[in-house]
Amino acid sequence: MVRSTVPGVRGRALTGLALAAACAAAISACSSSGSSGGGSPGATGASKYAPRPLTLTSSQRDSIIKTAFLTNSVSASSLNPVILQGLEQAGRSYTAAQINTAWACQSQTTCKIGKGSQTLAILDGAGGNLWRQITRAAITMEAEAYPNIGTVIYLQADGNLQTMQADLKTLVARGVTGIVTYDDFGPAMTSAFQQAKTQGIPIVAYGGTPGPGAAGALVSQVQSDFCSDGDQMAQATSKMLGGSGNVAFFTGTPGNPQGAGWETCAQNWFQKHSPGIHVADKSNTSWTEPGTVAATSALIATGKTINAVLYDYSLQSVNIVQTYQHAKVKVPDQVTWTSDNQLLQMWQQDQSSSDPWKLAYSSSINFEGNIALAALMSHLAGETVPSQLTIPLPFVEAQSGEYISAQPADAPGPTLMPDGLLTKLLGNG
Amino acid sequence: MTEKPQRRGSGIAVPPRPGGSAAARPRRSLVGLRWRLVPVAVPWTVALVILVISVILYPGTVRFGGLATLTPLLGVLVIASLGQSLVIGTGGIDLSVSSVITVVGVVFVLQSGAKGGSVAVAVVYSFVAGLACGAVNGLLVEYLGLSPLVTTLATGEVMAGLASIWYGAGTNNLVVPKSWQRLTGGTFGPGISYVLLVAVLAALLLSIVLSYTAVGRRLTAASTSPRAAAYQGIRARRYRAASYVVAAAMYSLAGILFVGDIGTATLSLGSVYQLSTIVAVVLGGAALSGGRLHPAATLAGALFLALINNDVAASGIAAGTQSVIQGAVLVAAMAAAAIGALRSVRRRSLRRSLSRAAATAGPPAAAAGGDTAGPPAG
Repeated sequence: MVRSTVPGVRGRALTGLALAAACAAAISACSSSGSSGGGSPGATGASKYAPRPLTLTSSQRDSIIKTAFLTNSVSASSLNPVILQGLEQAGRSYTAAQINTAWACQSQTTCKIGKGSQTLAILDGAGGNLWRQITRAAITMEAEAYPNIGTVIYLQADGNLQTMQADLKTLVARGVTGIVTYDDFGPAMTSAFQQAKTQGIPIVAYGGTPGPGAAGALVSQVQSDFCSDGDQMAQATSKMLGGSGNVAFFTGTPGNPQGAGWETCAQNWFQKHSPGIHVADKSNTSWTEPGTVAATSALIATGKTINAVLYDYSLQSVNIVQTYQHAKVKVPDQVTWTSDNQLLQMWQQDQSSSDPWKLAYSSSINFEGNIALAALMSHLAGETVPSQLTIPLPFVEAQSGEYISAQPADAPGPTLMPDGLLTKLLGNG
Repeated sequence: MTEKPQRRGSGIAVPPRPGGSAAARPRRSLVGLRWRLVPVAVPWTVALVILVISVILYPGTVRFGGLATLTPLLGVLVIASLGQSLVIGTGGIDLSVSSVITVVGVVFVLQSGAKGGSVAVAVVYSFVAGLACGAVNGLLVEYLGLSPLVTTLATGEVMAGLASIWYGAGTNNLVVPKSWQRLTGGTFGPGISYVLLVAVLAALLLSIVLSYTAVGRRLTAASTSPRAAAYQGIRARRYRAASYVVAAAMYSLAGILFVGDIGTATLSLGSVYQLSTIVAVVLGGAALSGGRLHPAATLAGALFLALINNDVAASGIAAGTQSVIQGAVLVAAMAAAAIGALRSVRRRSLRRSLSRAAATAGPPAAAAGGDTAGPPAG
């Protein structure tokens, strides 16, 4: 408070000036507290949520897309702009310091990645396996492209719904800027997401999502179209089998929406386009290795000749092949989601044996997390983001040389992640 | 039934000869044989019936392919169930079985799959991890008197947490060494897995120890009736606590064999054994309240369960229907075992009632001439 020592009019004017200056300072402070500390002083609006500028040539963009989807069949023009942005941010160059920061964050729950005031939260319903770790690292890496994100929080629920819900409440209480999440529990998380939205926290789900019923609770859901995936699998199978044979469908938990989606559409595709292909068996594995071994053992006990197995998890397609090999029964062709280095090794070894089998697989789509972060930041920037971001999932036949001996068994194949970070994650660095 | 004192020519009663009469000895042998065999014969009969049904429905079950893939799973279930039976025999229950199997698998791969790793050292580390859990369970349940259900659930949570930590620390990048995979995946004869051979040998060894060694008999006594065992000078608490440790050793063995069959560590390695081991033990005729153990019967229970699971999975029917059928079959099997046990109890109590009635009716009338029947001497 300014004490006036000049009596009369001059004193009142000085007091007024002082008060006006104090108010201007207060207003300035109020407006700058909502802006990032790392960005331009006084920056407001969309620029607060924008990544560092990135310029790519069309060939660089095409290269990123081909690495992401393992094929040239997906064009940039066919992708939603938000999806494209996520892929570009995932595939951009990062410095060694940024790579080291992202790696250091893997062992921390709360990690400082910069001077920005925004906090990004990654909420994983399960966590633990290599795919989840790589996806987490990819998101953290991409977060460093946003100068206003200063902190990344990571929580995993280890497959426990109550833990997931509690974690979400914790993040809301901490006032994070936004959340990207892998929802392993489907619609069970919808009400929790809705509560977070009510508290003003935007959420984007990727991979595992709560489904269309949660469209109002989330900014967006990033995943492939399960029916389209089933069509793709069926096409790849028909090509490998020459249009006839017996196939088996394997999926995880009974009634899971992913499995129900692709199995129905794959079966319909066979009936319509390859009626010579007959679905001889459908099994559930609970997406566990022991469950896969048990299901394969039961299938072998039936004595049915199976020419191809369609499964939505390549990590456990390894167990299917191993079980057939133990049984000394001809290994069926494999059509599987995601890529697995050990599966490629087994395929490659068997090509020169008396029992070669074919393999078709998809990208490991770790970039789902990158797209989710891009969607979140676009939403915060005031852009319109579709409630569903559907990514294509083409299947490609394995080629010799795709197995990488320097990488561990469950290495997920080509990713958009910087090699330096991937090497550390795979335990080679 | 005690023998009546015999009478000499003077009418004085003399005590029966030690060992009883010649007629009584074969009857006692038959009773003993029946007492030993019936608890084992019933579960095996049921298991063999299921086996026949399986072969009829799915002949591939007993061809090389079926045996080579089913017998490792059966072997792991048998070994884990034998461990569970030791705990159930004390009247307890062990819910840490799945977590011990999982953490043992993780430890094994973490040690053996790393560069410069050794399978032998991995085996040692794995057993240490499992036995530590068993020792803690035994101490808490038997010496502190805590509930076995809650205690083992809690220690299981600890083990699951450790498994998760070690899995994320690098195990998820590793695989089981090929040498171990070849050993555990190997078969002999028509496709019988070496894992099942180990399981059968374990059951045999346990049977011999329980029936023919002092340690085993003391364990049985301590499990069946701790108070009576204590009166006999047996340190019942120590033996009962040791049950948890031996059980954990069995889970550890199951874990290192199973991870070899699977080829890689996974946090769900032991998940199916949480309840299936208990079911196998109960199907083998054991009472959850504790009592005498029959490893051979537990083996039969595991065989029954493995065949049912395999057949239902092979049927291709909807998963929900599979669960209903499995549950119904298990309830029927346990009800049959319980009814059989009830009938046996009824027969024994009927015999006791009859013999008591005969004893109350008194001896036949004394001969004329002043027969003085006195009490048996000494």
